[in-house]
Amino acid sequence: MSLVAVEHLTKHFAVRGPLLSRSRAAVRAVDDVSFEIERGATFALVGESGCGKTTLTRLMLGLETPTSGSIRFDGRDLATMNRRDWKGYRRQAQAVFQDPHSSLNPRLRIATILGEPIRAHGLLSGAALERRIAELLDIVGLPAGAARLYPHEFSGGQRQRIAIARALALQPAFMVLDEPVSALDVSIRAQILNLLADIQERFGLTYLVIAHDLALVEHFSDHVAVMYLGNLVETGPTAEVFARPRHPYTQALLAAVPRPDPAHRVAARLIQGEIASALAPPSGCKFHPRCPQVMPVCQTQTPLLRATGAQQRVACHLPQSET
Amino acid sequence: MDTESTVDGLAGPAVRYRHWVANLPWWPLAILLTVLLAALFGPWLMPHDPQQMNLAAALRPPAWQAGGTLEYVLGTDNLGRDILSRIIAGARTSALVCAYAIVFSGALGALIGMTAGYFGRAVDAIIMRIVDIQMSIPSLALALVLATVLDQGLGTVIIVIIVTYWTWYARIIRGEILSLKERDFVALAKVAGCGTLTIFARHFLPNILNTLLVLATLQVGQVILFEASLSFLGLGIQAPDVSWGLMLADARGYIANAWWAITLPGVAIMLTCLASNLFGDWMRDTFDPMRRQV
Repeated sequence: MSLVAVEHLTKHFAVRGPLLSRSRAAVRAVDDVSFEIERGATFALVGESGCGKTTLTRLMLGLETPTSGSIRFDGRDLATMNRRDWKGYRRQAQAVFQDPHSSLNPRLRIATILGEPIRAHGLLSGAALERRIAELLDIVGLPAGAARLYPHEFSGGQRQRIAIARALALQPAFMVLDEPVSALDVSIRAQILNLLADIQERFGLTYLVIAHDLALVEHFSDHVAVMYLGNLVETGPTAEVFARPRHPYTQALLAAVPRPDPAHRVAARLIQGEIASALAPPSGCKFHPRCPQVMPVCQTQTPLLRATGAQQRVACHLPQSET
Repeated sequence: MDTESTVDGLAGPAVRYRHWVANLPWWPLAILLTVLLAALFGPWLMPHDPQQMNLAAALRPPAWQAGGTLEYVLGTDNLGRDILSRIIAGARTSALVCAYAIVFSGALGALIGMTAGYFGRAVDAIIMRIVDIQMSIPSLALALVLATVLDQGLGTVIIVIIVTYWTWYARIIRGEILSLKERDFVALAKVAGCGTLTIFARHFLPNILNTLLVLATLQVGQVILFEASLSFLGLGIQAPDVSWGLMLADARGYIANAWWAITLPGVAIMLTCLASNLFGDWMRDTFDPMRRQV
């Protein structure tokens, strides 16, 4: 059974008008999204900014409540959980965010930051807690002495290691990695990715990675889902999607990846224009105003995800050959 | 921005510390310390009992003026009470009012501001409208009502000041929380399983402490002035307690022939307010990250 199952997940944000007026519009940040993550797998979610990736992570972590749809973790629906179940889910699902400057409280020592989740659940205290903190620091490759210091005494890469150590503190099964390396220097990214891969193997973790760096996705994930304006437009095993992208948006994204080949030319005008507003999404297929292969049906009918390969699914009206 | 070696981080504080000491506002600090010492050790420093009347020595000028004696260094008032002793006793009153009023209005305002900023929506709207209403009530009119309803005296002065000033903290702290609560460490604390109290105490309080200290320092001058105004108008400290504002009120009738009785407590008020404002400005420039010179 898959560890995480998301079904028809939808989140609307009401946009409030002036004081005392009724709310009029809703931003459809996440719109009818379904996917599953297998235990021990790395599931990548890609898309440009504003497509709803961050809202999706906040829903997964229980920082927002869904408008409709469900998130099931280990077979249990988060919406039906009581206080105690939530506490249990909090132990299971942890997160590493993009910006290590923002994710560590500048006024707290590293020992306090790492000990916070453990103390919140009342697991360890005193010398046992200190030993656990030293152990966590060791796992992420930092000396035990780091516990006495404050976040500003570390570099960006070191801070991200501390953020990872904190996420590991509760020995979770599932970790949301929201752009874990995109705020870091290129030279440090590989180290952090290797560390993440190591701890995944060592502790049997399941990852949900949010990224916009497709090269990273290709090497780091087993499954990928492409998101556009709150919808999944294509999903499947990373190798399959990268080898044979079906959706024009996925094709455009992959074609835009820079290649170390001076003879390579990017096909001009793959997609045009800006991502549409989530306040007033286009009718039919949300991608149709930018699609190079747009057809009349795209403007009226919303395409549903349908299988095109062993596990690959795409939401597009274009005829799909089974090759 | 990004310090790639810990060496930068370690060199920083030492340099900043030197910068700090070089820019310490010595004069304001000296004045505030004098007031504080007078407040703490008043009973041992006073040459006379501040309430002891001696009509034989009434309206004695200060020692450096013709007719003055070293017995009454700063002269006496119309009832023959020693002005120096009364200024020292008044410092004690001012310090007491400041301590209580600032601690309680700061704590109340910070708590309310944190609540409004963190919970947002209806909670925020209701609290901030109350703040707006409170800020539109003239504080002297409020003092008049409270002084009539409650007993006049030290306690009422402190309550009036708390009721007047908590809004000031609440507004500014709310603003800080609005940006602070969007930081990732707050979301991660929730993900870690921390409750609201932990987030307030461990994540908000340490991050607003600088702002609170700066606000409190800047408030000292205002509180002293406010207490003096209330006492001068007869709404605040009542005789036989001693207050600088009360001294001004008592000496008002003798302004033509005894300048010292009204001028010297006035100078005490002015110097203390000026010193605390200058010190507060320095605090703000030093501890407010937005204005800090690196």
